[in-house]
Amino acid sequence: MPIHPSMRSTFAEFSRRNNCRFWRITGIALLACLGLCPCSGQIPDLTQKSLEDLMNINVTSVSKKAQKTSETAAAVFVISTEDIRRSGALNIQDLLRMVPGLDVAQIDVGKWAISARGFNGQYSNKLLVLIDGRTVYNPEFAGVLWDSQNVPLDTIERIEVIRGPGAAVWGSNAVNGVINIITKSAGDTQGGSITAGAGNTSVGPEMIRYGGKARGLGAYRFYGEGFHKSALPTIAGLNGQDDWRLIHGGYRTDTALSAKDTLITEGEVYQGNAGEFANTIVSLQSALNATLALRDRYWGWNLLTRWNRTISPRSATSLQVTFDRTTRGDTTYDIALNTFNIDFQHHFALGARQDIVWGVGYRVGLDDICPTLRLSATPENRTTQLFNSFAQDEIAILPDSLHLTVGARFEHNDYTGFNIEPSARLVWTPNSKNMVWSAVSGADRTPARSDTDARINLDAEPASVLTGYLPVLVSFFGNPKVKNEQLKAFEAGYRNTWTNRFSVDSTIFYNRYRDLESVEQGVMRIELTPAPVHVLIPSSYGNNLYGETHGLEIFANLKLADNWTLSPGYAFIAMHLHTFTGSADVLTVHETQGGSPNHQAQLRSSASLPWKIKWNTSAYFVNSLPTQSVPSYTRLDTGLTWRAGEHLSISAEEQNLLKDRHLEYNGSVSSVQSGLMRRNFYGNISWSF
Amino acid sequence: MVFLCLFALVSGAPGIARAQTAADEYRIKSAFLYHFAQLVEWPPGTLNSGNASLNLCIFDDEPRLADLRSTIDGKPIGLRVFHVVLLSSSQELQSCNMLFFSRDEARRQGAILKRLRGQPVLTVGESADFLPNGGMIRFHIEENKIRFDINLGAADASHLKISSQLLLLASVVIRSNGTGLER
Repeated sequence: MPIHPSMRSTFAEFSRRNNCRFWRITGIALLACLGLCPCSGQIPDLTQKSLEDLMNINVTSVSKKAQKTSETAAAVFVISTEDIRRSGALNIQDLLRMVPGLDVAQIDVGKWAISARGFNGQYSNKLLVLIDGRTVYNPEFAGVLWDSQNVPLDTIERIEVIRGPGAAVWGSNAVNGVINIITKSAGDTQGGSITAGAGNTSVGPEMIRYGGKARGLGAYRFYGEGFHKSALPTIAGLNGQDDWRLIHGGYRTDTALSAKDTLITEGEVYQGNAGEFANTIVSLQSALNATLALRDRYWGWNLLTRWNRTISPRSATSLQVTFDRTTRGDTTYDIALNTFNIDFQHHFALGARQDIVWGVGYRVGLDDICPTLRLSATPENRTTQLFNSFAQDEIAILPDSLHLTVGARFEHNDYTGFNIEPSARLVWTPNSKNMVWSAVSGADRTPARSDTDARINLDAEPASVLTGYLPVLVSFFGNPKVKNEQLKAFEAGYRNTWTNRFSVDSTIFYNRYRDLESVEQGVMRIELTPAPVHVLIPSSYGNNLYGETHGLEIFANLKLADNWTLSPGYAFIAMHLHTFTGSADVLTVHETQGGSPNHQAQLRSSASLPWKIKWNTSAYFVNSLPTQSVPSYTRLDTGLTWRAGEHLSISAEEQNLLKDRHLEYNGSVSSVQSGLMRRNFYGNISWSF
Repeated sequence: MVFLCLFALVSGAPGIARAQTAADEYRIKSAFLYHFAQLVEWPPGTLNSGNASLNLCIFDDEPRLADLRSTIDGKPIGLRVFHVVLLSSSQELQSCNMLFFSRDEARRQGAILKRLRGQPVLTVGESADFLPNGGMIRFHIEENKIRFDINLGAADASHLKISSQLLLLASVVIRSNGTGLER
């Protein structure tokens, strides 16, 4: 019976199907010359084959040669549509909790700290996130603005999470993991659907969606969604003022231009606002910091176009173009970011034993950081370019049992120039029930504007005798000479399907880091601007941290009965980071190591009850974060979904059943006040027509 | 533009030798449809006695039509001949013995399956809710291979007899009382 989807999917299939390179049509002439490509060969008469033979044929559009299946030599976890439906989660971030090895900590209503294999933080910079292949890792902040990533859950086909470096294919910043959110094709979301829901801490998401077909266009869908989530209490018990409102809408079209060409276009526009309590500098004239209730307002839009062409069953190309604009700010900062991306990829089989993917891409970002007292950048506007190319070859050393994949990505960025990220992976599949893989990879985390150009004024202190009657300003500067953070990763894993009722997947890893960012004190000096004249205490980034992390991730699926499955999981990480002597940084190592939980465990149960009711329960245990004073917690969520009729679906969900309030993250370097997660009930109704 | 030239260059490259074990998905599915027709018994008198044909109906805006037709149109099934009939609207269902809905047909299939309930037409589809809607056989892909599930209840209601050989090869067989049986 079906093995858990996380167990079998090909790496090349990831690269091919997972929207990583993007395309644009510009001329009919081009289509004409493409039509010249020779296509047919000898077509075997398939009706002569028996059913059993037909059931053994591989149907990928790029053939994996005469072999059964290639296993993915990586720590991959797939969240399927069924997992999404049964989880009762209302947003992508809560769904990610079920991935062993991912740290998911909610900071307040609209902010999350999500990372893989350590280094968690609000802007965790070692995790690459893509939606249909469009990068949503923000190159200016070096992190993901999670409050802008709201894909309606019932339009998600699956979420693929790879823990470990994916840089050889996906690029720098895929240092500790890659999350790829793939939406359903428009053909799979036909008809209309209205969803309405509410709970004790939120109203919505309310969504309306409609899909249809149009001659010439193919299939399309469009949607509109909105929600309002109420504020959470702060640690002190006050209203956190972090309520979050969002409204967004989008569309997708899937067109078959010919039997061999498909075109996908997608777009989204969104607007939201979320509050927070942040400790910030207010004025230097009369040196003043305060904890202000700020309201972040943001809006943006993005477009994606991808053209896939199947040249033959052994060769396919893909061209993708994306554009993304976002503007956000509150009274203390104001930024606008525009990113344009074009990527080409070609995937083909070479001979009987090799499967090659290669590609080239270009990204240009234009940003504008309007100077405020709190945040400014030099220069105020900057255009940054990124050139990249990659190649990967999967070689069947022993077809059916031993495969070696070698690859590398070459990049050039405006801050640190040229870098290479190589990877080698070996997979051994002695039989269809077992698979062992191991990998060695290198990955770089390249700098963003926040690392190089930005200046943050953190704190103002009043004038005193000791400071020569001048006020004091504590500021943090980016370092234009900062280097890439580098990782060498060694991983190995084992997957087993003992019976069709029990499967297990385990991974161990050992990561060596160098040139990790440290905070270095600069030399105190007198500064004239911003007025009035003051004593400046500067600090900046250095690359004086290094060290290693190692750990284990294991999860299993146990099908205890035809209608009941249990999924336990466990992840462990130990971090040993050090500072070079000579660096004055005494805090970062301690804070980083204490920012990720050492142990995490989970147990999920999904059961199908009579009358088309499904009952799911999830329990998550997360160990403490001692440097943040976050105690360990166990979170229990449970819910029911009932398919009441052909068109109607009703669900009720309870989150945080065990404890009314718990803290998940309280970053000591962050200025934002964390909220306590509350026990909440939520119900929703969905009607399709 | 470098990218487009590259695209054109690569896409126009001479074809690489085709592997024998890989084939287009819909050609394989049409071979499956051919086998289904041989392993299902229609109630006596319902197959077109006049022209000894067995008709598989497909909607004429189906983009993969060519694949479906070229593989099986005109092939013999026992004493009959397999014919692929194109439908331009759902009005013409009378001559159909089998009806195939590709995965983009999710919108149309609900209404048509309702109309065909109890009728001796073997319905084959691909969308996720095909079987709950009353469809009889549903294709899906697992690990790059084609598999199928059978809704025996719907077939029984139409008095179509599905051979045990076909039931054994199915991944999931849903019986008439609604419980699934997985293998």
